[in-house]
Parts: sequence; structure tokens; C-alpha cells
Amino acid sequence: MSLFLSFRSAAALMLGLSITAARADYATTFTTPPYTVDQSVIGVDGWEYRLPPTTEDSHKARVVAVRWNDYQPAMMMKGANLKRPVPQTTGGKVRITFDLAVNFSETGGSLKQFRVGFVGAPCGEIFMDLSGEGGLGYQADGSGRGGVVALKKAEVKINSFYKFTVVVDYTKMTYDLTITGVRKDDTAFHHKAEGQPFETKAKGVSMIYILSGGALTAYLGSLSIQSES
Amino acid sequence: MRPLTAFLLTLATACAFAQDQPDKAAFAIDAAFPGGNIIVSKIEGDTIQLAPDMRDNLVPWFYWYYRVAGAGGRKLTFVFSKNYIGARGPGVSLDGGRSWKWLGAEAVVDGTFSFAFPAGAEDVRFSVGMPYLRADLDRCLARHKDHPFLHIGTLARTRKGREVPVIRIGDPRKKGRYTIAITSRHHCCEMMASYAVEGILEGALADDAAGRWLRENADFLIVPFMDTDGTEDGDQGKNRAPYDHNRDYATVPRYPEVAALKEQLPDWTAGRPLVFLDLHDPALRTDIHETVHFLEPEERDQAARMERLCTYLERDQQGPILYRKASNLRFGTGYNKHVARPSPLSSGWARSLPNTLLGCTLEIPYANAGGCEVNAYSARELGRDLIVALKEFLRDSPEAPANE
Repeated sequence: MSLFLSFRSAAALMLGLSITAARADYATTFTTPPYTVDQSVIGVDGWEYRLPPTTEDSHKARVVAVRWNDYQPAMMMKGANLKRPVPQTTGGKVRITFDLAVNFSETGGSLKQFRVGFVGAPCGEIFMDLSGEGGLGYQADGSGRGGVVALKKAEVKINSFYKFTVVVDYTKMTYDLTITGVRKDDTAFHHKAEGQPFETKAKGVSMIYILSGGALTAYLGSLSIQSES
Repeated sequence: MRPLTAFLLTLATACAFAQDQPDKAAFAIDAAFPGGNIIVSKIEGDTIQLAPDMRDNLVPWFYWYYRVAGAGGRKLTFVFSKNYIGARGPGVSLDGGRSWKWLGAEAVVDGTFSFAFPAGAEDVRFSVGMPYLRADLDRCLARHKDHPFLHIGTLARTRKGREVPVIRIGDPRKKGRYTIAITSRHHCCEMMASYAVEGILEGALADDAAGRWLRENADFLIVPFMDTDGTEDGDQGKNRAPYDHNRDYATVPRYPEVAALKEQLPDWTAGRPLVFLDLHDPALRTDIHETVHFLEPEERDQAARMERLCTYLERDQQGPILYRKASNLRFGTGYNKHVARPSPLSSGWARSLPNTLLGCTLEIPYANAGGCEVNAYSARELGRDLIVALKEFLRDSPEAPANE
């Protein structure tokens, strides 16, 4: 018992140290002001168009109460293009976490219909590719090409959040990426890529950008970027 | 052929087959239950040839629904004309028709599919779709029976004496500013629409933003089974002789349900702005029949309002079925060409009422909607999405009667 308590105490201490070493440079769950349900995110909390629209289309990125997720708010995107500068991360590491869900038809669309990138994070773009051999993946280049498909489209469960975690170690020049969620058949899904090498001159994350095509609906349930020492 | 006749014939045939092969248990195929419809033309070994029972239909249609009993542990092959199988194969139920799954398009070759019956399976149902009957509605209503805004009544009695249920949702203490009427199963075979009606009903009762706003501002009248007899008897309904329920609105109605709706709906609205949606399923497969689509009204003001409703639906939808308003069938195109006056169609009749903001028809595919699977859950969720769109539409609408 005493050994168990000691272990728990040590774990708690380590967790506490970890928390004090991490700083949320940007974090939101879209649940509190300035976010408002049924309102666009354009012009809210630093979100803006990545590319100027030709017509008013701020409705393409809105906060909604997600019915299939107990009405928890999330940012719903349909054909949206967005960016949000974040304070430049500091320290040797940065931890990025977000929850992403998608809805798409089995036959509609092609190419990478959802792309999220973190300027300065060398994991490449994280994407949902609706091509025949596509799926949820990462490490795509900025043109929307390439990348590693972690979960094939046919196995992706629609309207179900996948948690992405990327930890970039600028000292070791590697990153770890994990994706967890459930497959279409409701079995657990866990993908882990550890120690992925990279080359970059960047030393931190400075901006988020999102490109969302019209062939799918994407939901961002939470988003956090943390500097870690 | 009536269900009982079909049942006796098939039971006899199946039993005879079993005597030829004493090592195999006898099985029986029948349609003697609510919604049942099948003709068994031949049983040869483990292969059964079947077809829909057309009954009083003027043109061939595709509804069928049968039960196989006593086939646990066997594998049987069912042979239809390929015209009678939908985009995702037949619907299969292992629990007496309470829940359904598609067998899958890959399981069907030229209208023929096989099924390995689980050991001990005593009641396995097969259908062209996922049948929805009065018992299903009753189960849904039982879940909400204590809701203070829900009132269940009877619209009329059918020609066979059945009660036609009508559901009213609204604040019992006051009249809402708007009225919303929902009908389905004018063509009794079009069962997938019923799941969307369930979603509308549950959305109207939901404790969420759309449900609360609508209950504050609108009253609902829902008739889930406009052809109640056909639904329970398992008729095709679409194009029945001399004409079907959705061709009965032009003059003095042939069908009591239609007569009752024509009489009661205007009184119920009492001049309040009305949205009337008539839900259908299209043909079984290909082209527009595999998309969710509204039929654009001929009247320009109504068409513009439909466009607005559809804009909200496309923008706000969260359910698995991805609706695209580009899929709507413009007036004068495809099969959306009815110009007779007075209109024999329910939505056309509704548009002729002076207080109707919008009257139109919505088509929900049987199995495949633009690559999205249509099933009980996804169709219900489409109904929930419609509720959200209706809220947005009415919140943006003028209160005055708006017909030009």
C-alpha cells in the first residue's frame, strides 16, 4: 500500500511538474465567450479568412451545438478557409492537440477536403483525403499533396471525434504524433508515429490555418497549442 | 395474391421441400403480418424465387416484405428480378422487424442474394427497405407519452375501419404564430420517409434550441400514415387503381384520410402562416432517386421560400446524410411537371390555401443519398436537421399570409 501511495505521489508530482513546465499559448473548446453558438468565427478570437472571399461566406465556419455530441459546441466548417495567428511558442517543445470529426459521402469528393496546418510545426498538414485510397492522415505538404494515411476513408467513422496529439521536439528535431478514436465498426483506433525526424529552421508555432472543402463537413471540438520546456 | 393465400401456399411448398430432404429442417416463408408482401413462385432446393405482390397497382412497383421462419443454420438463396432490389441490397431484420440493416450491394448479383441464417433464428425479415409500421410509431410515441406538448389523436377512419393517427405538437396554453403540417406515406410503400417524420417529431419535442423555439412559436400537425390501410396491409400504394392517395386532392376525395385532412387542416391553421411538407421516397435507384431532393413548386414565391429553407438545411445539417440543395428538382424538369389545376397533389393543394408560406414535397431515397447511407438512424437525423432548418426559416419569415 505504501509503495502504491508513493508511486501515486510521485506520479502526481511529475504531473504537477509537467503542468508547470507547459504553458497554453492558445487553447479553446469553443464553449465560452467570445464564441457564441450559431455565430461565425470570422472576426472572433483572432480567426480570419486565410484567403479573401469573393462573396460573404462567414457562415462556412460557425460555432454550433453538436447534436451528435450532446450539444457540446464545436466549430463546424463547410468550405471554409481560415487562419489564426498564435503567440509564437517558446521552449524546446510544443504540444498541439485537437479534436477533429468529419462527415462525408462514400462517393462524393476527392483530394484532401480538409487540411489543417500549424506554421512552424514540421508534422506537415493533417488532412482528410476523400480520394479512393485516402483517409485521415498527416505529413502532407503545403500544396495538399503527399502525406501518410493513418486511417483509410472506408474505416473513418463519420461524426465521431478523433483526438490528434502532436509533440514537436525542436531540440531533437523529431515529432511524435498520435491519433485516437473509433473506427467505423466502433472498434478502437490508435495510431502512433514516434520520433519522426524533420528539418526546419522554425523554433516554434506561430499560426494555425485550415482549408475545408465543400464536399465534407468538419468539426473542430477543441484546440490547444502549448509550449513545453 | 393476398397475404394469407401467399402464406399458405409458401408454407405448403416449404414443408413439401423439407420432406424431400429430411436431414434439413423445414422453413416457411410468409407475409402474413403487418406490412407483409411477397409472392413465392418457386422453391427448388435452397433457392427461392420471389416477386412483389402488385395487388391493385396500375404499374409495376417494387415493395416487398417477407418473413422466413425455421431456417436457422441454413443458407438460402433468394431470386428476384434485379428491378426489385435497392442500391444497398435488401433490408434484413433479425428481431422481427424492429431494427434493420442493409445486406449490402455487394451481396446481390442480378437481383439474387443469399443469406446464412444464424443458428436458432426463428424470425428473419427481408424487405426492399426498412419497413415502418404503426407499431413502430407507437413505440416512438411511447417514448414521449408524458411530454406536455404532445397530443395524439385520430384524423379519420380508413375505408377498412382503421384509425388514422394524427399527432399535434404545440403549447396547450396558446396558439403558435406559425403552423407546420407534415405528412407521409401518401404512397404507403415509401417507408424511409417515416423515419424522417420520427426525427421531425423528436426534434419538435427536443429540449434544444430548435425544439424550444418551435414549440414557442409554432404548432405542428403530423399525419405519419396518409395511406394507413396500405401501410398495414403491405400494399404498393404508389399508382394504385384508380389513383393513389397523393392524386386525390383535386376534387371530392376518394380516401377518408385525404378528405379529413382537406377539411381539418385549414380549420386547424385558422389563417396562421403554414408550412406544409409532404415526405416521400422516390424510385428505387439511379440518378436523382439516390439523392435527397425537394420538388420545386411552380409558383415563384413558393420556390423562393423553398430555396431559403433549403439554404438553411444545407448550412445547418449535422446528420449523416449530406443534403445538397443543388439536387433539388426544378419545376418543369424530370418528373416535377404537374400543372393540373386544381392540383391533385397534397403539396399543390396546400399551396392553394391562402395562408400557406410554403408547400412542397421532399423525397428521401430508400438506401443511398449521394453516397450517404439512408437507414433508420440517418433518416431520423435528417428529420432533426429539417427541424433546425424550419426554425431558421420561420424566424426569418413574415407573419402575414404571403401568397402572391
